[in-house]
This record gives sequence, structure tokens and C-alpha cells, in this order.
Amino acid sequence: MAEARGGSLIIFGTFIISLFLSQLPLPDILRWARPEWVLLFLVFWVMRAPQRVGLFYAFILGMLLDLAHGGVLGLNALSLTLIAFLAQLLYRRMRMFPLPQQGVVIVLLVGLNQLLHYWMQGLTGTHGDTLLFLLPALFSGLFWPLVFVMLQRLARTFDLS
Amino acid sequence: MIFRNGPSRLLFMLLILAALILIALDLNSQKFREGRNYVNLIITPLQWLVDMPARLADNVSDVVVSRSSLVAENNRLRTEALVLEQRVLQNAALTAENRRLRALLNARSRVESEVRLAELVGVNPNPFRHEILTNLGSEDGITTGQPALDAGGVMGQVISVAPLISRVMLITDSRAAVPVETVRTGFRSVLLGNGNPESLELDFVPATTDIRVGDLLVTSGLGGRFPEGYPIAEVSEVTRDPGRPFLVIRAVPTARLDKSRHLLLLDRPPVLEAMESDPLEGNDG
Repeated sequence: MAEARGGSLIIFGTFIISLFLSQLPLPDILRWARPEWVLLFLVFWVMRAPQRVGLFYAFILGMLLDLAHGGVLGLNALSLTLIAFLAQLLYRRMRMFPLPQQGVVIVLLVGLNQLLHYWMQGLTGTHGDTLLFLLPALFSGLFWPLVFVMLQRLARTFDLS
Repeated sequence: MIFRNGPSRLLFMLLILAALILIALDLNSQKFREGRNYVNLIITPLQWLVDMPARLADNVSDVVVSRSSLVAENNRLRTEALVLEQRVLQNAALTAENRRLRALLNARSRVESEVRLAELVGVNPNPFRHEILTNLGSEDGITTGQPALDAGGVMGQVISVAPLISRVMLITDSRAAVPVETVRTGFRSVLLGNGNPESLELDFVPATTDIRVGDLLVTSGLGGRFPEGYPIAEVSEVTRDPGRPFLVIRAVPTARLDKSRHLLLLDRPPVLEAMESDPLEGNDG
């Protein structure tokens, strides 16, 4: 039992790191090049430890992200819950995929996330006029192998699943 | 476990519903938004943490700076102070004259506003929104709607206040609009942000208007949000297209929106404060 709790703590720690990464200021040129760290970490843990990290986790994380971004409260909660649900449906298949193919799935998932955000942006009266908002999906896909390898090592070291 | 063989559909539905309710409340209820500013306290440590490397670097460069460069900077600042003092002297005379003339015209005299020096502690990472975080919050007496300036001109206005931190929406945000007038002709219009960090737009300017590249735009004080007469942008492009009823006008902000680490928050005169409350609700702000 004590071991299980320690594991949850480590998972929670990685989520704090992902929130931190999502808040780091970037220069203007790179502002669309930020991977959706929280989402990447979430998908990884849903794949690796589906019994521990699920929809509820996604919801709470989304709320924290909304508070940090200061946007519409509940938007990230909605999109992350949806993504976690999809990841739960897909995780058995995704575990079999080679890394690049997993990256493609990630591009689709993050693309969906971005689309939801774009719609909500339109709903609140403002909208961009470019397709740039899809760029984070691409960068998330590119960063996926890195995230996967590092978190996998961490999970193996502490024997988390 | 009932849901061993798949995700829980019930939980999914419930959470999605909860999220939708939150979104609806957040978009429609002013009270909810105020309450939410207090919940923001949870996330404040994270925001301080993110700012830490920059602050640390600042401190280090303060400590290891050489004596000669300090002396040079000191000299530069002293000459600058002298020049500014001379201008203030002129200003005092002009203010007195202005007050006399206004008294002659029976006009209300202008209220001088107090300023608070705030420091930048964060930038909103969401590229859809141009917002910065400052280190003053409701504990320091900051309220929503206060204009934010830097040495160059208007930067934006406070849109939400947590106890220890406040959020400033920049004028380039696509939700921002500021009533302005040109210094040269006194032509009044509304300056709109369009989500592009380097340019602003003037909408619905008739094709016959006298406006040129290089015209300085200052706040007009209409709408009661921003005090009158602060520089805000310079016209950078005027396109006359005979096919369109209005001019296409672009302007560059005079404030250094992406570089200023210190900003001034103006205290709003009570007259203006009584006029409206929420910067995101009103059409004027």
C-alpha cells in the first residue's frame, strides 16, 4: 500500500513538471511551437498506468491548467477528459505501435484538443484567422518519443504500472 | 470492478457535463469569475516558480556588474533626471495655465492620477491571448479595469485580480479596444487589437479622413476606462482602397509590450470607477 502511494506521488510530481513546462515563457517566434506537455504526460500515464490515471485525473489537471492560463474555466478540463477517454479506448492498441506511429496518434489527439480550443475561442467572440493553432499538434507529435522514453525509464525505475 | 474492461462511460458523461457547466458559468456569471480569482491562489506558487529563473538571472547580473559600468549608468541617469526635471518645471507652469483656462471655460479640472509601480512576473503562454501577470494583487489594492502603462505609453488594462497577482490584458489582444484620438487633427476612433503582437487596427475610418503615416494616437478618455492624453500607438500604414468604404489603417504600439519588465498601474479616479465594472463586458474598454 505504501509503495502504491509513493507511485502516485511520483506520477503527480511529473504532472507538476508538465504544468511548469506549459507555463514557461517562450519568445514570440516560438509561441506556437510549444508542445502540449500536460496532454503528452497524461496520455503516457493513461497508457502506462490505466488503473491509476484516468478521467478524474484528467479533469483535475484540466482545471489546474485553466487556472494557470486564465482562460475560460472548464475548457481544458473538458478537452483533457475527452482525450483521456479516447486514450483509454486506444491504449491497448497504442502499446503495440512503434514510437513514430504513436506520434501520429498523438498528433491527432492534440489536433482535436486544439480544435476544441479554437472553437471555444470563436464562441467567446475572438478568433484567429490562421491555421497556426494546429502547429502545437505537430510539435507534440515530434516530442512524443522523447517524453515516452524518459517517462518510461522513470516508470521502470520505480516499477510503476 | 464493473468497468474493468473499458473506460467508465458514466464517469465520462458526468465529467463532461461538469466541464460544460463550468464553461457556461464562467462565460455568463460575474460572481463566479470573482470567486475564481481566489481559487487562483492554488496556482500562484507555480507562477512564481516559473518566473524564478529570470529573477535569479536579474539578481546575479545585479551582483556581478562592474564598478565602471555602474558609474557610467549613474552618470547617464543623472543627466536624464536633469532633462526630465527641466521638463517638469515647464509642465508645472503649463498645468497651472491649463487650470486657469479651464476655470475660465467652466470646465471640470483634470484629475491627476496616482501610479503604482508593478513588476512583471509572468506571461500567458496561451498564444491566443496577450496577457501578462504582475506582482500586485487585490491585497495591494489593485482592482480590475486599472490601466497599465510603461515609459512609452499605454500597455493595457487589468482584467482580473487574484490576492497576490493580477492579470493585464495587452492592447494587442484580439479582445482589446481603446478609444483614441490623433494628436494632429483630434480625429476620434477606436483602436482595436487583432491578436498580432506588433500591429493594431483602426476600424471604420471614412475614406475622406485626414490621417497619415506617423500620426500619434493618444487615448481620448471617452468611455471612461483610460485617462485622457496618454500616447498609445503610431500610425504605420494607411491604405486607401477605392473599392472599400473605409480606410485600412494599421498602427504600432508605442509601449514596449514584449520588453518592459516594470509597468505602472494607474489608480482610477472615483468618477470613472463608478461608471462600469467589468473590462470584458463593456464595449468601450
